[in-house]
Amino acid sequence: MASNDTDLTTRPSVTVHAPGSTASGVEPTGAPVMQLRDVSVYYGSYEAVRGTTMPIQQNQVTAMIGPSGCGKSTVLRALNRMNDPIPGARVSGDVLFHGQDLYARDVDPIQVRRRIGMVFQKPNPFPKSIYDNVAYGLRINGIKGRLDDHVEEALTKAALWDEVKDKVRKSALALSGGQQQRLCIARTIAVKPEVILMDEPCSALDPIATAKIEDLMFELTSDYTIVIVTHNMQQAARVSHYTAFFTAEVDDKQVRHGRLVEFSQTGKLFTNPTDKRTEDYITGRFG
Amino acid sequence: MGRDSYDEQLDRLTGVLATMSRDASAAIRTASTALLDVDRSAAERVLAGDAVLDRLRAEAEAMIPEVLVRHQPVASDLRLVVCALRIAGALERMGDLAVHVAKVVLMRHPVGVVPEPAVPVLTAMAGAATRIADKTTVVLATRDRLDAMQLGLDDDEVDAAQERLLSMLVTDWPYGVESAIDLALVGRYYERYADQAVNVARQVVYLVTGTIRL
Repeated sequence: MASNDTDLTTRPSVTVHAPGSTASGVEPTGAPVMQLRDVSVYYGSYEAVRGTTMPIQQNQVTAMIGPSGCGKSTVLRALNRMNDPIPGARVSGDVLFHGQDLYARDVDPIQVRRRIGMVFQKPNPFPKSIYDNVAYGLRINGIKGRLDDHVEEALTKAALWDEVKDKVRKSALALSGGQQQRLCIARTIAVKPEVILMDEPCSALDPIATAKIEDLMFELTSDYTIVIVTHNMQQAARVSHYTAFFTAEVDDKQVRHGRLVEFSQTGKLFTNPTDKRTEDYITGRFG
Repeated sequence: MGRDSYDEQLDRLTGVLATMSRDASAAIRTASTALLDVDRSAAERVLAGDAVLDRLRAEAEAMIPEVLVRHQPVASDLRLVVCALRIAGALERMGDLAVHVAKVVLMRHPVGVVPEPAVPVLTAMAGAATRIADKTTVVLATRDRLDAMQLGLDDDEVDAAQERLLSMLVTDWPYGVESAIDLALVGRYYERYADQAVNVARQVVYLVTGTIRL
């Protein structure tokens, strides 16, 4: 894979503090697991997000923040081809996963989503038992071995096992919102992805459930890479190692496009952002 | 608590620091008058004024946790709040050092503390310390990074004057040990005062640049 620095610094409108630079003391573990190179996402002729270049570091949490309409969720969904089913949706540029272009012709989007899983804003368990929710992905992926062990492992990793071990055959819909979200995380990690995408995973949860998910995210980084979209800047500051700030810009034809403004280590971005637009947004002086 | 009150709180914090800086500057100016003109009432004014500085520091310190908990400041707002805590401490300490000078004056009154041969060097120290204090006040208002970094040069002047004073005191000082001790202490107070002013300026550099310089 090409080196980060050369890729990243070719776009002067984006402030990028490459891993290993100053600030928060977070050290990346090595090469990025994913790399976006000049990625634009279109819905039909509308360019929703323009020219995004940033790395996703392995075993780290990368947060995407920005106002509504800035394209952060669109970029997140582009990371595992979740926009594919939307008619007219199209991606240009490179979305590289271990150096391989995820949008190459021979790439199977199902395989992409198995290795790059997603957790959504609203907990969306299947109307089945807790056990079947977790076992579902394992069964359709034909994962061999003792299903019970896999289910227990996934629920344990999702910090839910102790709360549900006596009722795994009960309906998942009987769980609280926070438990349902952790169940969705368990369902995602059961198929052993490398990257977990989270689209505002706590916005429907109370502060206690939110804290549990945040703790869990931290623990999960020992095995997984996490990318989270959040409207809650304090959450981004709490949980992430890297933060990407997106904004919506209006072009000369009065069309809005999402744009990456700044990508930095989180400590740096929240104490000393380089771009004035970042500063204005995170201090609440936006617009 | 809305956005207006957040900006108001930050403005109020900045205002408290500006007032403190002006007061700390006035304190060393008045203390220097007391010292060089053997002016008892000037010395007493310094002592009275210090209570105000102490109160303002307490005010700043009370505001800071409130701003943190209510608004979770980030970026330059966060740096302002962190710096304000240190700046308020430094300014209050500057006031204390001016009080120390004034107290030496009061202790010896009506006898003067500065014999004739030491007048030029102490005039130089007082002048440089006052100038630093005034510049600190300006830098706090303008947040000019280069001006802030310049303060170190004025501090060098104070340090050099203090060395001249000490070498006078240790070579055939004809005014007795008591006088030598008074002057050594007064010299030390000015030197510490100027150092604290440089600390304030350093905080301003951090506030502006986000970079901590050693």
